Amino acid sequence: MPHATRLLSALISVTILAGCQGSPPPSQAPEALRGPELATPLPKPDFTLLTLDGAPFDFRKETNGYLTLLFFGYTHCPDVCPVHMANLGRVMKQLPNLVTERIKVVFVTTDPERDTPERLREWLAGFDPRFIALTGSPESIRLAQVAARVQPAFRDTSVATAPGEYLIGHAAQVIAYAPDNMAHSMYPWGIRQEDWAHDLPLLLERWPGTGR
Amino acid sequence: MIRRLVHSAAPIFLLTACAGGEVTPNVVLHLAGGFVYAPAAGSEAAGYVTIDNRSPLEDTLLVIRSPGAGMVHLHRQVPDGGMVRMVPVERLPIPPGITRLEPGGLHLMLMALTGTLSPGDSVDLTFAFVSAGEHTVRVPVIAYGDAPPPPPAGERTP
Repeated sequence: MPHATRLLSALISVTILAGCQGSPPPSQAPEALRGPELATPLPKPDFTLLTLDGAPFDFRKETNGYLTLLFFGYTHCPDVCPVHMANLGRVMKQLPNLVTERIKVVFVTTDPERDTPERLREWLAGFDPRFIALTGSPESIRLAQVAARVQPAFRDTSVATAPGEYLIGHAAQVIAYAPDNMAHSMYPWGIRQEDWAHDLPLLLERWPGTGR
Repeated sequence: MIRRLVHSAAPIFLLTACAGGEVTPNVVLHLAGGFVYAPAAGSEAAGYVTIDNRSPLEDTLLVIRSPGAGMVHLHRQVPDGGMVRMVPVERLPIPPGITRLEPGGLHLMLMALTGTLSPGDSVDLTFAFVSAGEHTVRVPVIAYGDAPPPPPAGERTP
C-alpha cells in the first residue's frame, strides 16, 4: 500500500508539472512495441513469386505502402505456422476496417512440392480470406528468403520419417514491414494476439509512410 | 465413458511384485491439460498433453495411439538460430516432475486421421509407458488461435 501511495503521489506531481508547461513534453519517447525492435531497420525485400492463380506477384510493388506481415512456412507445420496465422486472423477480425485495410498478410510456402495451390488456399483461407499465399519454384522461394534476410528453410532428410514424408526446418518469426516499407520489428514465436492488437495500429502510426 | 473418465482421473499405481513378495508402488503418472488442434487442412492433427510424474523414478513414453488416427508420431521442435528444426522422438524419457507437450516444443502428430476433427469434438489418446503401462485421456479438439484449455484445478505447477 505505501508503495502504491508513493506511485500515486509521483504520478500526481508529474501531472502537475506537465500542467505547468504550455505545450506537451517536446521529445516524448514513442510508445514501445511489443515485438522486438530492430537496431537497424530492414528494407523490404525485392522478389517476385506466384499467386495461387499462377500470376506473378511483385512483393515490393504489390505491398508498397501497406503494413506488410511476411511469413515463410508450410501447411504441414504442426503449430508455429498455423498458430501465427490464426493469431493474426483473430486480430484482423477485431481491428477496425480503417486499420485492416492498410495491412497485407503474405504467407510464402517453403514446401511448394507438397503445398499445392488447392491445399494452400484451403489452409490459409481458414485463418482469414484476405491473407495472400505465394508459391514458386524451390529456388525462387529460397532467394526470396535470402532477400528477406531470413535463414532459408530446408528439407531435413537427416531424420527418418515415413516414406514420402520429410520434416522441414524453417524460420519462426513474422517480419513486419511498416508503411514506410521498412521492417522495424520482428515477431518471434510466442507473440500473442494481444501483442499484435497492440502493435499493428502502432506500426501504422509510427511509420505511416508517404502514402500509396 | 464414465468409467474411462474416472479411470483417467485417478493416478495409476503400477504395482510391482518384488522378489520378497512385497508390493511397492512403481511410477505414478497424471496426464492432464491435453488438447488437439483441429487440422487447418489435410489429414494430420497436432496434439499435446502434460505428464506429471509424481514418483522419484524416471519412466519412458514408448508409443501413443488414438482411435482417431492411423498412427501417432512424437516430434520435438528444436530452436536452431532463428529457425525451428523438427526432430522425431522415438522414446521420450519422463523424469520425475512435469513433462509438457506444448506448441513450439514437443507435440504429437496424429496422422492418417480416421475422420474429421472439428473444434468442440474430443478424441482419446492412449499413452504407453514402460513402467506405468497404458494411460488413456480424452482431450478436446480446439481451433488454432484458441487458448489451450487450462490445466484442471488442483494440478501442481512446476
